[in-house]
Amino acid sequence: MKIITSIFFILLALGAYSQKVSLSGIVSDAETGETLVNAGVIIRTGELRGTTTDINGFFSLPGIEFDSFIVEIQFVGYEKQVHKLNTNGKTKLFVEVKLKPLAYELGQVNVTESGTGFIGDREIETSQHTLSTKQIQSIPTARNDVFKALRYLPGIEPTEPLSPLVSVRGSDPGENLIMLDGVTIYNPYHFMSSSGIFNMQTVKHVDMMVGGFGAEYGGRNASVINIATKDGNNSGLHGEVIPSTAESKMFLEFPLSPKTTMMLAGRFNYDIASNLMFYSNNYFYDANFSITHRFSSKHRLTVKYFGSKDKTNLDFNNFYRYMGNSIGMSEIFNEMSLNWVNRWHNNIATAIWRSVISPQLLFRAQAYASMHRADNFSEMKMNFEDVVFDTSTGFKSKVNDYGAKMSLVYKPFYWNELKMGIEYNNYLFHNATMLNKLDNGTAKKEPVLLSAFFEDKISIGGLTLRPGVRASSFDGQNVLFEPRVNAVLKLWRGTKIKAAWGKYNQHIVSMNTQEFEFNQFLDYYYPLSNGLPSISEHYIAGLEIPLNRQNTLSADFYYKDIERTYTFDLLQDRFEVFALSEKIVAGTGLSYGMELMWNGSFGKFSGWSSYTLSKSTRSFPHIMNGQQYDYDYDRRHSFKAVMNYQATKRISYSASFIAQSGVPRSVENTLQMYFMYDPLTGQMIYSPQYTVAQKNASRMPWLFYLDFGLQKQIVTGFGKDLATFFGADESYLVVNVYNALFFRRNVLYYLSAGDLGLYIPMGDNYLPTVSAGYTIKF
Amino acid sequence: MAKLLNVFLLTVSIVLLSNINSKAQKWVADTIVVELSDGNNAPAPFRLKNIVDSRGVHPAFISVYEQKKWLVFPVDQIVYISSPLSKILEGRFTNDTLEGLDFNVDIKEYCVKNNTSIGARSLSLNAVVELSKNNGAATSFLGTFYYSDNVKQKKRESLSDGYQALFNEWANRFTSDVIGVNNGLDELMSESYYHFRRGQPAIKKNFYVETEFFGGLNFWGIDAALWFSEPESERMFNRSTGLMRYVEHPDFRAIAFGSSIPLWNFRFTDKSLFSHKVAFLLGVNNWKDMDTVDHKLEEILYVNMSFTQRINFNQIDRSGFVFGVGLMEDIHYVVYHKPKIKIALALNLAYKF
Repeated sequence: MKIITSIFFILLALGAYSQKVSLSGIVSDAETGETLVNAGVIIRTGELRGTTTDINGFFSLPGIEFDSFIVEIQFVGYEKQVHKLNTNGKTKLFVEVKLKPLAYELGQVNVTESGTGFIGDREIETSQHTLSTKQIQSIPTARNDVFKALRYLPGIEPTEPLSPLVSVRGSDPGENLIMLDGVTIYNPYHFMSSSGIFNMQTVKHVDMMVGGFGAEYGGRNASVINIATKDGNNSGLHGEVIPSTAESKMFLEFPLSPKTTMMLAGRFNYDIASNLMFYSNNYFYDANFSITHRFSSKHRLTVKYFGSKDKTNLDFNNFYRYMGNSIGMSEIFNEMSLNWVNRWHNNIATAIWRSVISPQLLFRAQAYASMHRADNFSEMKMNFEDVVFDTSTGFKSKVNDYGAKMSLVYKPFYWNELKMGIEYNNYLFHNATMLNKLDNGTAKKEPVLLSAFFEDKISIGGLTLRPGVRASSFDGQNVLFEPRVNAVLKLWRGTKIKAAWGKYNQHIVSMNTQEFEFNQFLDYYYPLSNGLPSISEHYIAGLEIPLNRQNTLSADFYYKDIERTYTFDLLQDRFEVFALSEKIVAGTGLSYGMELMWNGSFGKFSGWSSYTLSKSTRSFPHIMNGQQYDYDYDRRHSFKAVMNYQATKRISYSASFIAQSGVPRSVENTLQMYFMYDPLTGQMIYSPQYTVAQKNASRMPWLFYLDFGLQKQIVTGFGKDLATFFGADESYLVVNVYNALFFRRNVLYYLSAGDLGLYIPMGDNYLPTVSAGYTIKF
Repeated sequence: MAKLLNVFLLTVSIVLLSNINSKAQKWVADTIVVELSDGNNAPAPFRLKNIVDSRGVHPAFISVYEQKKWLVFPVDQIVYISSPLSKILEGRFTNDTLEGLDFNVDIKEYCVKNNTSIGARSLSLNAVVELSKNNGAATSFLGTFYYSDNVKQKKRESLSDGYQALFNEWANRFTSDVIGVNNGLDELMSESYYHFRRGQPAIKKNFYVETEFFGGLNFWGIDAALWFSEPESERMFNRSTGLMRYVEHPDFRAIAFGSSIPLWNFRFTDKSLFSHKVAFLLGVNNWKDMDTVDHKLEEILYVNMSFTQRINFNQIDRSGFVFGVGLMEDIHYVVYHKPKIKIALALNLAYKF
């Protein structure tokens, strides 16, 4: 650590003594005012020298030896600018560049991306994917859902069909760090529809690192997902209105003053059909608010708020009665009920300050509060004469995360960039579990996490290295270090070889309730206060080959050694161990695989496709005596493709396809019953416990999904009239056809039919569905 | 040999792919061009001197309709004429020898609807045209024409011929309309008010936010609808709307939806309008007697047809509240149950923007 600090101060001193000219600046969109990330800045005088803008649209080019030089600023999708600059004796120059966007084409899926708020260093990160809103909207299944869209990227797989959770490279969903504008958000999902909590109208882009990420990010072992929302448009009132009987949305962005912009958005979803048919009251809403004030081109303050609530009360009793009567088994079905009562909230508030202190020094500070509360109950009940079959689960979870972080980026030379930061988190975790209406343990903890990181990016010729280290202390325990290093070697014609190695600690784990709840919708977070975090080590090698300007092939190979991981043994009842902390069990695991990906465009087609071959295993002492088994989220093969066809300027067609091997499951072959006599009602209550000799011994069959979409600009009809009435610029009709391969049922699980010796295949999406709606943009 | 086969297959694939790519345009092509001549065989009795096209669409746009490719895929057909509409009108209404009878027009709306349904092939024109007269250097605004003309398409008639016939018919009518307006005939015939609003600029479509409560002896319900209505160009006119209905019957409640619900209207006075609505709706219901009756899953499907006749307070060409009263005849059907016919009183309340 001392050596790193010394190097930093030497570089700092060298930079300070440099008498050459330093050019820095901010590059932004001339129309919206949004800063642009990864825009190229090239000095055309003397030796060719260049850099790219960072997360804040900021660039710095120190060490320029000329009093007068030509600088070129360019970005895909924008008009190039060339300026001749004279220093007039000054050694520090700051410029504000506003690039004008090129003409927009409906639905075009650009491989390159724009906007601000990207995480990671795009030049050096391995295993990094970015989805723009345009790309997300080209996926029929995912037009309005960030998390559904992520499933079309390699290495990211859904855990269960009805669940929004995703597993990244064979990890637990609780090992994903999900951030909204840099703030950790807990369970950002809506109910049932696997719907992301974020209103897509507010999302600028989604950025994801599926492994090997740098020291700046910590606290999770598998991946970092950052969802950046819009700051507001400074060129007038813009927005979208999407009316619908099921879900209505509105999004507005506008300037409050020449220096201040604002964004407001809201969404309300109400399940009318379920309410009417089955008395199930289900709804959710979310709201976004953002205000950004630019004190000057160098200083900017952003305040953002996000809030959401889900409430579901799914009662299948009526459905079972209808079913029983239809198939002539009313005696059984009339006394059967499956009930889910779920409620959860999210509230996030943050303030972000960004400042260009000097041409070589950028400062960023953020304070935030992230609050999450969940209360989920599910129960299955059947009555046979005097005997009641009753099994239920109840999980309550509360997370309050109050934090602050600061970071500095310093660029003493054009070939060297230093980054450092600190973060403070004050948590409250409150968990309670109930199995079959019996208390299964509660826990309330208020740990504090202190962390710091340091990174140094050095470019020598075609080689770029970024060593870094992250240090953290959780709940007053010893400081633990996580060293990481990334490397990129540029070869001929833009071909790159990438590599990463890193150690990752996770102090907050999640309970795997997949085998208890009828459907695990959420992660229930639990802090580790024993000083022994979950640990994994990533080894990644990658190759990126640009085929031409539009197309890129990439290959990633990863090996993840999970030295320590945790699971909950919830089946121990209160007579064995009472505290939840005693039900947590440590184990080990391994994940490795290969991801091949093409993305790009040819003619009017654009999109991407990928193939993943992977394996993930776990071992816990209480499961099969520590024998290694295929992990719950292990998918051996996965092929994914998203294709967009821009037929005309007005019409685009899209299709998305997934073919993947099934996950391993423990299909029960033994049923144990627990009986209890209730003296108050005189009923005998029994709870079933299915058992199996070997965990995850059965692999489910392959799954195939194919969806189609159409988006077209409307020139006449109700949608156009509505747009004209609201004074909107454009209106679109969006039609999606889901589950085009419905004739081949996707089996997700085989349910044991007890004494009959039958296994009933259970699936979802039995029929194709079509959705249609208008989008009005102004 | 295997290598040769691979090369052959690759070549065939590339050729097919590029062929599909080039032909695909035809399967989604949303633009077709029809020939439309000004049809000016004889000099017009007046001259259109200045023609402004303020429709906010392509100057050659004339129509849009949907076709089903392979009976499945909906493909928009946007129809452009070979030259801008203003040029066609200019060519049609020209007379080099005529002096002193010059008019200016501003085309606010000019769109042909092409109904391709089997047995009902027709073309209908919606047009709104503002007319002013040139009096030397000065211009006097005369008023606005509203057209909703319909012609049946003949068998095997080409699209261009159909459009040409409709255009000719409209142009002839427009010629006599302009002459009539110039001679003040419209002021003598009150009926022509719907067709020509003297001295009034063009009116935009009205946006209706409508609710209708209905109640009978043992049932009640509420309809909700959003729809746009073009300015009335005849005393009798048809409109259509989407509709959502909630209804409570003694043994079940239901929610149902319908689209393109026809509304036949007859205007009595400037403030009163008679409407007849024929609604065919499909929906789902919820049985209230589940505890005593064994209903099957298919019994949640609900089919509803209703006829509503009502008289509304509805001011022509003016925004504001619209309300009315009428009678509703309701027929509904649920599987395993006899269709039921019920009568209800309907109360209508809407706001017309």
